[in-house]
Amino acid sequence: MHKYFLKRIVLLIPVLLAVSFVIFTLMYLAPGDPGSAILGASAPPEAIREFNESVGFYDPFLVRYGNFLKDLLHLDFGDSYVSKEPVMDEIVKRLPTTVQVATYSMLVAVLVGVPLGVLSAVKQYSLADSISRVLAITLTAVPFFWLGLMLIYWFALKIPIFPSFGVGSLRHYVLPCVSLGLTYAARELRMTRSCMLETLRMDYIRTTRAKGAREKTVIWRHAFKNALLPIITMIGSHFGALLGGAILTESVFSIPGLGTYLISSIRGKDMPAVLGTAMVLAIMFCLVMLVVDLLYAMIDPRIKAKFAK
Amino acid sequence: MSKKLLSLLLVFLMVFSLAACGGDNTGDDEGAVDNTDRALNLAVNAAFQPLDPNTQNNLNTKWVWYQVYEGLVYYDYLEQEVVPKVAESWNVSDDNLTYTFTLRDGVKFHNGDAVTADDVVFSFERAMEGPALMNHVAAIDKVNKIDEKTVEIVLKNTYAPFWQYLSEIYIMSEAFVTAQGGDINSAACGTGPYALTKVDLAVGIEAEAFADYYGDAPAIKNVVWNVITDTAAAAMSLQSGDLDFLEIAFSQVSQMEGNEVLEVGTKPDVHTSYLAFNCESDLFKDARVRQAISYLINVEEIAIGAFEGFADTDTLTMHPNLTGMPDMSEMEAYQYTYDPEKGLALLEEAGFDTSQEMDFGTILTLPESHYLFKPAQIIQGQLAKHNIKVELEPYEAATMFEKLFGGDYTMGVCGGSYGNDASGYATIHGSSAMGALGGCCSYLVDERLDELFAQGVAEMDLEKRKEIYGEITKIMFENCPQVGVGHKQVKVAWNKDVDVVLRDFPLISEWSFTA
Repeated sequence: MHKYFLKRIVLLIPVLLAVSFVIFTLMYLAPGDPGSAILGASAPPEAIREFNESVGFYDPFLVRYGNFLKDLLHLDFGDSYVSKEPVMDEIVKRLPTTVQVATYSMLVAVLVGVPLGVLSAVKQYSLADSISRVLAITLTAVPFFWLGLMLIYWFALKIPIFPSFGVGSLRHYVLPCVSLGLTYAARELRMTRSCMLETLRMDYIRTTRAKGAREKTVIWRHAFKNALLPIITMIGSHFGALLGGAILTESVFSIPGLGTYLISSIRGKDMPAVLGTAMVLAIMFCLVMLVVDLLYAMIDPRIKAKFAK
Repeated sequence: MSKKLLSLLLVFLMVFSLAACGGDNTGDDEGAVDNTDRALNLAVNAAFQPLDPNTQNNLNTKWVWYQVYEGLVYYDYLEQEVVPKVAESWNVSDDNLTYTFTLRDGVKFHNGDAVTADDVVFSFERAMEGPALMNHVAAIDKVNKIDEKTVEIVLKNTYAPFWQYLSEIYIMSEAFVTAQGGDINSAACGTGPYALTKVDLAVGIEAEAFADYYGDAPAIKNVVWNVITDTAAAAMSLQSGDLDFLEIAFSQVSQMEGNEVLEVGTKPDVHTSYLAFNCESDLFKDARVRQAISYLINVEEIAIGAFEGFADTDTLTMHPNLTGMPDMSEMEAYQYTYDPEKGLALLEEAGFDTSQEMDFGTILTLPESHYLFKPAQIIQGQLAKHNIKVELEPYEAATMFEKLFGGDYTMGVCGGSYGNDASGYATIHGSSAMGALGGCCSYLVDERLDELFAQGVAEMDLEKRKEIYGEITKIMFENCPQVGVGHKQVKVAWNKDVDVVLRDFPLISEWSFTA
């Protein structure tokens, strides 16, 4: 197991390097310059040039990328061009909000999606199955920012029980996390249903039933436990995506998380902030996937056995 | 079974979303509120830029400065008068070159320090170094401290918009700025009625009434500016009562007007959208071609199509309400009115075969800006009716500016507000501003115009200024380096329980809660 763990950790290095290269190159190739974006269109060209020089904008690509990597090793993303504060401080300030949104949304997704998926599989072709499937298709098709706007309309405007934007109390998280969570719940539902259906058709399930086991035991102990492997992988990757992918939801609900910070930094050509935020999101995604892989290895005896040899 | 369910669900979804699109008459029915602690919730549509007033001119950030900072005076555009602020009184020399200000007693900065003449000199010297206040300080030669309570500003030449610009040269605490190492991008220490309490440029800014303010204490004690980038979400927040005041999109006006708890109004603004021609390009070297295109554009259609009727229609490239602009009635005869016959005749005269399709290249435009992109689309359609083929060339802001001010274009739809004075004309038409970012992009040199720009800015008599800018406007129509396509209005909506005074940058200290 230690060998497996080490291998997964070492694999993170080339992945993060590749991510850093892609993000840096994209930002490098993006049109415009930070001086014009920050000083504004009415600033004299000399002031813009001076600003660009001061942040090393005119340095060759490799020099800039090399400097970026050097700083990255110390987890130093430099100072934001806009706020002049260290990017790391800005990220640390916003990270808890993003993690909270991702966690609550995932909770909604799992609590709604997984039980409905199991129910749908166990009662295949029943009314419950049809409702679940239609719900899953609809929620997958509906963009979550639209769902967010609808939730604001109904639950902040028509029936004003939740605030329409910002954070501060748990009530603020309800609408964004429900809108995001329901979209992911649909995916968990479909995945759980198909995995459960596949497992329920296995010979060992038939054998368990033939041996006279109770249906509850067959479903939860034998079928669900075995169907869990791909579901966990999916939940893990969805959680990783939620950490960095809640940008639109953060924007609709004006949540001060990493998503809104990333968007405003891209608009303001704030390169250190964009690179820093993107790298942190990539690192978090990789770490979540690492945890998922380790969990997978712990649950799946085949992986455990392979590395135990 | 599933088909029936799917249909039911789809019907439900349609009803759900259609209901959400309709008007709304609900209000905040939570009952009476204690206004002492109630914060005024405002929204801006994009993250704030750094708070240092010497670094940029972002409109959202400027709105905050107007509450936190003050100049020696405030120029009231509604009343067209100079209001004393940090300075209590002043004298102007006969030659209009020396302005002597006496500072008001008891004015304090938000850190508790009293304002001194040294702070005033420091603030002006700092403004003269920064890029953002280039026009504001253009005429200032030097600023001298006469004594602890008196400061003298000496101009290089007479400067008509001096008072307007003076109100945006903010008085800062030298001690505070020095203690911050010159970095006041996330902090502010002014003399205004509100002091900042929390700053997060990407999220929002909070302020509270400054207890030691020398003037009347503001009725509203706490103000919050929230960054809400999604316009639909912001509109719903206003209707739900989570926001108190909001700049709204034209498409939201009728919905807001139908809401009984909201009031809708128009904020004073001097914006102009215009079509710029690159006069150095082969196509537009000939003035007749530029004039022809101007006759083929129907600004009334643009006002309806692009601004939903919320625009003033004329073909001026400067807003007629700017101080010093001539009376519109005198300019009527020179305006470009939609006249296809005249336009096509001018094209024939310039050597075009109007019976064949004419390729006029591209129109540079900015998709992220509705009031620049929509006019470009409409112009494309209007020209197509007369066999003129143009393609839209959409870019994001930085690239568009690069192309526009680098002369790499044929036509482009631009826009902006160039101060509140007619001298802003020189910013986009003067040869000295040619090729500068945000300056002149038409590349047409006219020595007579340059002379008139210099006279206009230096002339102190308003009537004479109007004559000068009248002549400038006539020449502009004749040369036609650009043609105006409308002045968009700025629509705002607010809760009826807030008493507001609308200005280009509203002063919150003038507002109050009525319920």
